[in-house]
Amino acid sequence: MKGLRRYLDKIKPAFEKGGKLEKLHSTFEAIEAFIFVSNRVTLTGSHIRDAVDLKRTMSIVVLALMPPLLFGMWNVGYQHFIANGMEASLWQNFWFGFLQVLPIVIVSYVTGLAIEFGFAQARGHEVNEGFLVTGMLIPLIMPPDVPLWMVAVSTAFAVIFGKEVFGGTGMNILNPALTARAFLFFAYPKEMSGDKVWIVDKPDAFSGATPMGDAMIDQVDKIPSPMDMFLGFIPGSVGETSTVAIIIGALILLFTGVASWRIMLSVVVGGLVMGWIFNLLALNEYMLIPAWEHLIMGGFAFGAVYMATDPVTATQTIKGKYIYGFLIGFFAVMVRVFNPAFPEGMMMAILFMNVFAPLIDHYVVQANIRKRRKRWQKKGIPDV
Amino acid sequence: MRKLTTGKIHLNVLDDTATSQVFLGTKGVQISRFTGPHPTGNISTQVSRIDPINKGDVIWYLRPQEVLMIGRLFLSGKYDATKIYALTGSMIRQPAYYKSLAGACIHDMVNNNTLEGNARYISGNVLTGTKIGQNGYAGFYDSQITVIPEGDYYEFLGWADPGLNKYSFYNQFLSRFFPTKKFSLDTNIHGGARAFVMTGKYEKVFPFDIFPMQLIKAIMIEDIDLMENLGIYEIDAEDFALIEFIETSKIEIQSIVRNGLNLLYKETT
Repeated sequence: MKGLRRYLDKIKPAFEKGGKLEKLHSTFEAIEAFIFVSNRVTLTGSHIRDAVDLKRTMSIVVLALMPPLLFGMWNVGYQHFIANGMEASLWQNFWFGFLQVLPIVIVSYVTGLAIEFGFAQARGHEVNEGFLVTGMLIPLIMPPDVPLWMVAVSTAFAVIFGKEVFGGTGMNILNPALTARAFLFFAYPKEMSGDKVWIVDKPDAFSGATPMGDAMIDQVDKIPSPMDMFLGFIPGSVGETSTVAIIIGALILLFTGVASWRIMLSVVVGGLVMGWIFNLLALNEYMLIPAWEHLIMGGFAFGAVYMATDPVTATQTIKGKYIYGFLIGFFAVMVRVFNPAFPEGMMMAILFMNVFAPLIDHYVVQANIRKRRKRWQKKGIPDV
Repeated sequence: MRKLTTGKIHLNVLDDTATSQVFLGTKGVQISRFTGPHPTGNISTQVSRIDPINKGDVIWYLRPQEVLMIGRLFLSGKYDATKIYALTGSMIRQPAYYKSLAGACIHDMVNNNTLEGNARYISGNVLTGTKIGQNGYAGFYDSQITVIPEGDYYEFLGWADPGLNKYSFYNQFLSRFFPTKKFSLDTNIHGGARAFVMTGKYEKVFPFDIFPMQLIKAIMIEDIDLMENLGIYEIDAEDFALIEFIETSKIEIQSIVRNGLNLLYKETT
């Protein structure tokens, strides 16, 4: 390690102001900071600092994404061999899925990171860690046989228009990973929905629509058993199928405090409330499915745990988080059941609430301001 | 003190049986008892619990050592700025109390009493103190000198370290499983500066009915009306010390708040 450190120290001056490679400063900084946590010390104020940083926090999220990723790889293989009427071992299933999913992960990371480095360079900023998570989320919400060029195009779109035009990680309004998916959904609707995409190399005779695709076209009886949906033995996007794997990830996020339990809880409550309302109305067969089944179908659990809790695009106030989460769950189930154009409502619900998050925060903050001004008025202090 | 003001005088003491009768027996003041972890001792915290500051309110505060100085002046007619300093920090061999003058040079106190190594000398405490040199002078208001190790080292793949020896407010390190473990903290920042990302954490170390992140952002855009509305009169930079400590994005929160207060002062006087 000392040799590596010495080497970095030797080449460092070239990347600093006035150095030959000054233009590549951000890139050097990012690589250096990745290998060695900086030696920078505090100057004023709090002289000691918490050991945590954004790299650590983001790494925890990536770690929490591992259970759905690993299960998703296995499931891609499992669905493939089932569709083709073949038996396969656990290892064969996993290996097939691994080879199918890994390229998506690589394409997503390479495209996104290249753009991130470019922007950081142009702005003279440090490279932000946010994409470490986005780059892993994107493959998990893609259909398993999505063409790789589409992954690249949608990732580029999400990073540039979803994030960088607003100023980078921390400034974006929409969740970048969902922006990538929404882009594909609207730009290439044929490839993203219907019954074509969910199983790799599927023979035509086999209908492999997702449960929600079925439910939408009045085939509610085709919905798999709740146990299969809970464990995840169903077709779907790579990471969304297994509620069990997602719950493991959720436990990691909740224990470390990286994700907000308030949002997760209120998304679930919101989904249940909408489900119960539908049960009461009971206008069609889809409305009759038990409310709790909505929680294990489609992308609901994945969205609630990994997407809705993105701190940048969610509400920032504590009260706001309850409102924000509740409405996501509420709208997700509503869109899912009512809107024929969208078999799944989670993506739309989260993006929709991303847009409204600042408004919710605004009203929560205004309430605090009103309370303070009332106190001033009581004492006869003129308004600001 | 009652001769110096027409207003009400509050005496805030630690709610503990060991609290001296000197304090509890004081007459003509309103005694309030406080207990709990930092920042219970901060002025703003105590004021916010007794009577939150409104725009235009004026509050003066004194610490016991300062009351003694004023008392001595009136008793003897001489200004005697003697005060007691506490010498603390993990780089100090033998923690001790020193009697010296306000604003004294710390050289004689720390000389021969610090451990080997590069050290940070602080007038005040680790959260809000001022960096001074080995031969620096204590700040007028400070009665504590702290010496801790400098953190000017590189750490190989530090962000991926399981973290048995890392102190953190968050549950992201293994050290969380050893709650009685003791740590020696240094001045390393442990990461690079980023935009605000995490939310909902500040509130856990900020005992005010104020939205800290919104207030910080209002200060950053220098919107005075918004700062006033969000409660800037009720806080001081030191109230944000714990937020600065736990801040994942390594933003210099206390400096921002200080700038905001300075700006407010400039614009309103």
